[in-house]
Amino acid sequence: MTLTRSAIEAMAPDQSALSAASALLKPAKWPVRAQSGPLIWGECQGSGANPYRVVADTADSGSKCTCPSRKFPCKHAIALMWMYVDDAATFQPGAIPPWVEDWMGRRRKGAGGAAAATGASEPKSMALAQEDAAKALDPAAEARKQASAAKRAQDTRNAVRAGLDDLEAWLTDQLRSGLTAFVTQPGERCRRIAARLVDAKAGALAGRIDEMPSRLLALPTDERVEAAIAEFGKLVLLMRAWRATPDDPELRREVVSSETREDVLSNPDALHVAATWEVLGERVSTRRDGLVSQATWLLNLDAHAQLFALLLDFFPASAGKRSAAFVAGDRFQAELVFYPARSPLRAVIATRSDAQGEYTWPEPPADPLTAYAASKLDAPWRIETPLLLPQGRIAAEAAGRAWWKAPSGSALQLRTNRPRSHSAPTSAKPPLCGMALALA
Amino acid sequence: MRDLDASLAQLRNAWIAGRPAIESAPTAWRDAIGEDELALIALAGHASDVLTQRAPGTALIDRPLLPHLNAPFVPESLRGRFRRLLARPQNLPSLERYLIAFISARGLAAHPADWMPDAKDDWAPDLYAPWLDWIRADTRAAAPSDDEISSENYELWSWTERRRALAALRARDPAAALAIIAAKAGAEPAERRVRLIELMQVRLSETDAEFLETLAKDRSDRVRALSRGFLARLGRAGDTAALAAELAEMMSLEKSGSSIVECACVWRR
Repeated sequence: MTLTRSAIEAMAPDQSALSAASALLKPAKWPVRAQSGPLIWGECQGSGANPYRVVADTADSGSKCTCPSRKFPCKHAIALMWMYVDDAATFQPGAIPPWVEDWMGRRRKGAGGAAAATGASEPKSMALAQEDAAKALDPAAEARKQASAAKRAQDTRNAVRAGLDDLEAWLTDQLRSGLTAFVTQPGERCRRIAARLVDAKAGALAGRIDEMPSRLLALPTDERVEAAIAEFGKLVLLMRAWRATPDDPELRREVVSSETREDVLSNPDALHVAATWEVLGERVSTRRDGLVSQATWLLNLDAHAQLFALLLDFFPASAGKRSAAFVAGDRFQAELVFYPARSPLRAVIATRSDAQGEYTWPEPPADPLTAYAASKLDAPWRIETPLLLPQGRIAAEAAGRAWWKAPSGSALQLRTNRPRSHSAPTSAKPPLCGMALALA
Repeated sequence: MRDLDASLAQLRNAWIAGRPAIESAPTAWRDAIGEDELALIALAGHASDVLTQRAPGTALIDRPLLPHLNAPFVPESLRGRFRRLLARPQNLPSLERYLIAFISARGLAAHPADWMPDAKDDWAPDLYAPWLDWIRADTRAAAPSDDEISSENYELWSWTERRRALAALRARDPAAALAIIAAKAGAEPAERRVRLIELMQVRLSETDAEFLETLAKDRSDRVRALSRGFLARLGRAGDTAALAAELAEMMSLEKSGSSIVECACVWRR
C-alpha cells in the first residue's frame, strides 16, 4: 500500500489532529528527517525537553512516536507522513538508527490502520487543516492575541502578588506554631497553601510546596527541622525576588510557569552549548498534583564550562508509564539550549546525534564546594544543585549513614546508605558515583 | 564559624519551640533586617547551606574498595547496548539474568556502574562472588578463612565463600563435600539448593546416587530436574520407557504440501 493524502486523512483520529499536524509542517521543527526503504523517521521539536522521535512505515502506515499523546496516530506521526507524501525528497536516505530498529522489533504488523475506523464517521480534510493554520497566521488576529496575552499576564501578576501575601502569612504562622509541629505533619498544611497558590496562578510555586513534605519526610527525623528552615528560607528569597522583578524569566519560571520549548529555542539570549553529553541518571516521580516529573541529568564531557544540564518533562500520570528516553551512561552529541538563568541548568535539546569515539569525564575541581556555593549565590532558591566530586572514598559512621570522604578528610553526607544495583534504574545513584571514584 | 554555628543552633531552637528568633540572630544580621523574621529564616537557611557543613556524628570508617573481578569488563563500545538491554522495555520480561549469564559465559563482567548484584542475587554467576561478599559485608561477619568448611562451621561462611569453599572441597574430597551438602542443602532456599547441588557435577560418582534419589521429592522443580540429570549421567535414568513415551507425545509428524514431511515438537511443562 502506498502512502497517500487520502490514506493519511483516513487514519487521522479527528480533524483537530490534522489541524495540529499542519502546524508542524515547518522544516524548522524537524531537525532530523530520514528514510530507508519503506521506513521514514524524524525528530520533531515538541513541548518536551527532548525532541519527539517519530517513525512510520509507509508500506502499511504503522507509526510510533515518543510523545505522550493518547491519539493514534498522534499529530507528530501524521505530520511526518504528510511531509513525506508532499515531498519525499526532503527525507535524507540514512542508516536505520537503533531506536527505529527497536520499534521494528516490537511492533505488531498491521496495527497502523487500526485507528482509521474509529473516526470514520467524521469528515477529515488536510486542505481544511491547512486553511485553519493559515487563519492562525492572520496579522490582525495575531495582534488581538498579543493584546489578550498582555492583559492575561497583568492579571496573573496581580493574582500572584495576592497569593504571595497569603504565603508570607502562612510561613509566619508555621514559625509561630513551631517547626516541630510542622515537620511532624507537613502534608495537610502544605496542601492547603499549595491549593491557594494554584488559585492565585502561582502554579510552579504551588507544585514546589506540594512536594515539600515528600522531600522532608525522606530525610532522617533529626534532619527535618534544618531542612524545613532551608526550604522556608528559599521560599522567602524566591518570593521577594519575584516581587522585585516579576518579569524576570527565571523567577517567573520558578513562581508561575515555564516558558514553552519554542520560547526557549527562539530566545536570542538563551545559552547554546554544543557538546558530548553523558546521561548521569533519570528520576521519574509522580507528584501530588497528578503530574509525572521526568528529570534527566546530563554531564558535559567536553568542557568545564556548563558542566551539567537538566532535562525536565512533565506529563499526566493518567497518560501511563512512558519508556525512558535515555539510559544512564548513554552518550550523545547535542546542542542544548538552556532556559535563561543566572546559573543555567535546565535545558532542551535542539539537535542530537550519536556520539563517536571514547570520552572520559572532565577533571573535577579541587574544591567542589566552591562551585556549589557560587551556584547557590546565583540561585539561592534552587532545590538541587549538581556538583562533580574529585577522587574520594565511601565511608560510614557508626549509625550506618554513608559519607563521601575526600583525601583531605572533609566529608559530605550521602542520601542513600547502600549501593543499589541496576534494579533501581530510574534514579540517579550517588553511591554508585562514589564507588566509581573509589575504583579510580 | 563557631559563633555562626552557635547562632544558627539558637535560631533553630527558637523556631522549633515557636518563639520569635530575632533576639538570637547575630548582631550584623539584626542590623540588616530589623525585626523581619522571614528575612531571618532566609538568611539562616542560606548560611546553613553554603557556610556550614554537617559533620559526622562519629568517626568515619572507610568502606572497603570494590574488589576486582577475575574477568575484564564489557568493552566500552558495547556498554551502551548492554545497558539498553538491561533497562527492561515496558511490558517485556527482564533480560537481566540471561544477559548476565551470557556475558559471563563469554568471560566478561559487567561494569559496576552498569550492573551489580543485589545482596539476595544468589543466581549471579560465581564470577561476581567478590562483589556479593562486598555488598553483604556490612551485615555479615567475615568468613573463617583459615578453617576448612565443615557441617559445624557452615553457617559462619558467607554464601559466596561457602560455595567457593565447597567447590574446592568437592574437587579435593567429594565424599566430604557430599556430606556437607546432604546435611545442609535442605535448609537453604530453592535458589541456593540448586547452586549447592550443581557443585556435585564435579567428580560425580555412584556414591552420590543415594542422596540424589532423595531429591526426587524436593519442592523445587529445578532441584528435581538437576538431580534427575545427575542420576541419568550415573546410568540411573529412572523409568526410561515412560520418558520415551512422554517425549514421543511431544512429537507429531505431519504432511505439508505434496512431498515435505514436517516434524513439530510441542514443549510442555
